[in-house]
Amino acid sequence: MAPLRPLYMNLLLWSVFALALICALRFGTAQMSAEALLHGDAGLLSGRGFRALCAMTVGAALAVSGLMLQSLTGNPLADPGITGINAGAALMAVATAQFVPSASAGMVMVSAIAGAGLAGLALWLLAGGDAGLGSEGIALRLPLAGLAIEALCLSLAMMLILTDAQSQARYLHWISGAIPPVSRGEAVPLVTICGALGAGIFLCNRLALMTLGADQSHSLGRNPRVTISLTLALVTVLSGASVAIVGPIAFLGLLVPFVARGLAGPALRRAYGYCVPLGAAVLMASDVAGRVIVRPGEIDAGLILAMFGGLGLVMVLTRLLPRGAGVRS
Amino acid sequence: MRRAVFLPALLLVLVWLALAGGRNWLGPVALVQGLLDRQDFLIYGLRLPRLLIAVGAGMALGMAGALMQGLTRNPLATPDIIGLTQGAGLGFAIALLMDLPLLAGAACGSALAVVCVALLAQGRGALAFVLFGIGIGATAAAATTVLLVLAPDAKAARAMIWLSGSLARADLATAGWVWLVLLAGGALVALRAHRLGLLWLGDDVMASLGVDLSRMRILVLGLVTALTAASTLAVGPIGFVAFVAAPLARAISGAEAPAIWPAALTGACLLVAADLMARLIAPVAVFPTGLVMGVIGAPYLIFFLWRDRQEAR
Repeated sequence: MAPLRPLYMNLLLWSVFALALICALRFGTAQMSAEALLHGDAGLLSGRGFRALCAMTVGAALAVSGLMLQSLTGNPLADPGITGINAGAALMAVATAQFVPSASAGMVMVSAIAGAGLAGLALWLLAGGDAGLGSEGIALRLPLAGLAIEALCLSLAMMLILTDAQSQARYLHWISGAIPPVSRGEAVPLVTICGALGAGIFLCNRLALMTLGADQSHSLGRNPRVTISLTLALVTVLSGASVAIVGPIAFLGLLVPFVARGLAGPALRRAYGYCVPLGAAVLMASDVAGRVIVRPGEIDAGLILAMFGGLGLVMVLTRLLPRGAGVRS
Repeated sequence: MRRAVFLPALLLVLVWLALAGGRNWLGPVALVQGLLDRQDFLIYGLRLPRLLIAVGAGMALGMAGALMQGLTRNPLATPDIIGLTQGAGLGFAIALLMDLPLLAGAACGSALAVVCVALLAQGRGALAFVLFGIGIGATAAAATTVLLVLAPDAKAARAMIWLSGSLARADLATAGWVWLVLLAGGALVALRAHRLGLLWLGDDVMASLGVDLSRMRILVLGLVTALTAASTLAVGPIGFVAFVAAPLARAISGAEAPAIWPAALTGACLLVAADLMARLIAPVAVFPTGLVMGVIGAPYLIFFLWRDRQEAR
């Protein structure tokens, strides 16, 4: 297949996004005809609209977060879910909500971001590259270290949730990645994500420069340390705020950037542009699938994603580890 | 010699604590009275089945972990990390939905998982086995949850508790299955103990000693599959028992690398202790043992990776 020109590709991806949005509004526990969608039931529509809004924002945020993390580390396995960053954010969010009952939604979000940062730090200590090795050093240990952090944080978070009835009502579905059906103070994280997504565009060129090598970046007047800090800040803010809304969702940040980078080639900013509609569409679609499969029940979107995400991880790994070649661990 | 008796002694202490401990603590006298009285519901209805399952499943997992680590000579390649446990869980869920024999379903699931992982990872380097296992395991775990949400209510309630790795619904019939598989597997290990010990010496040494490598691999993988399936049937997909048991056993008992029996004892100790903790944390609610095991096991994995990194430098 000849590569599409970026304009057409953008059009295609945004129409996929529009399709997913229409599905998210139309399908649910009760079906809604196209006519009713245009004229009708404002209550149902606004409920679904809110849900779709959450799903698309978080989807875009996690996809971009994964893309930036992968570009920074040079490791296609770096997804905020697999690396345990989302799990760290989830633990901190639950702990704050439980131990500080008066905490506002904004405070929960800030602590989620802090948790994402701490988990990222732990990850760096366990699987980070040595300075001398550059990004090469961050190799295949990443999913393992992520598994350890994720298991620890999610077990602790689940313990907190199960020992408190109030938390159970609020967080039991959230922890497996559920898009919130009604608003409970999601406005702050939503706005934060939108701001961060907008700011991220300006980081792309810096980061692309940085991936050429720290020396190159330095000689062209961009301090690589600043680039690294800015990128990590973006990743933690996006992941933390996403987790504050829908809980620790894994694999989205692995799959979507994998596809987007495949479509966009080496141009980071183009991949960024592709990640936004694609990530939004994927999370909305998983939410719709979760609602439709077990009507009138619901399957949390995070579970649907994990089902395909595990296979996606296998797919990425088959690319990453060619048979027969000596692969260093 | 003192180190050799430490693990059995620890297990005995834990067994006593597990029988005595809980929402109502029993003193030694009350415990003996309860054990002598076959009608005692607290002991014979609740705590004994739970204990039997914890010991049986823990031993099975410990053995499976030690065998798998030996076969692959990779301390990370244990059933819970490379997706066998999750595969067994998926098989269990499918069997539950279709009213098939549960143990057979779990065994098929874990066998399928190990075949998938082995085929995918073949010839791709040492860590590939573990990485593909993580992927397969994540898929199987998510698919299990989705399937159980689809299940009719009566089954779903039981299955959801099972899914998070809980021993709360322990009954003697399940305990019987676990012990049956465990005893059969243990007998096989005991018969082949000498050859299994050679696993750790590497393929070349085994081949030069005249061991049929492919038969050996099939035997070990079959054992691991059956043991994982039996334990998953009883306690759900509990992680980290198999992973922690063998290294911990070697550290405690000072045994040489195969250490299958110490690993089995350590697995039992771990699971009994984790279950006791789960019961003490939330005496009224159903609190999954798997969570306690996660909090015990994940730090060990972190420690393992950290030490590995220090050594690599």
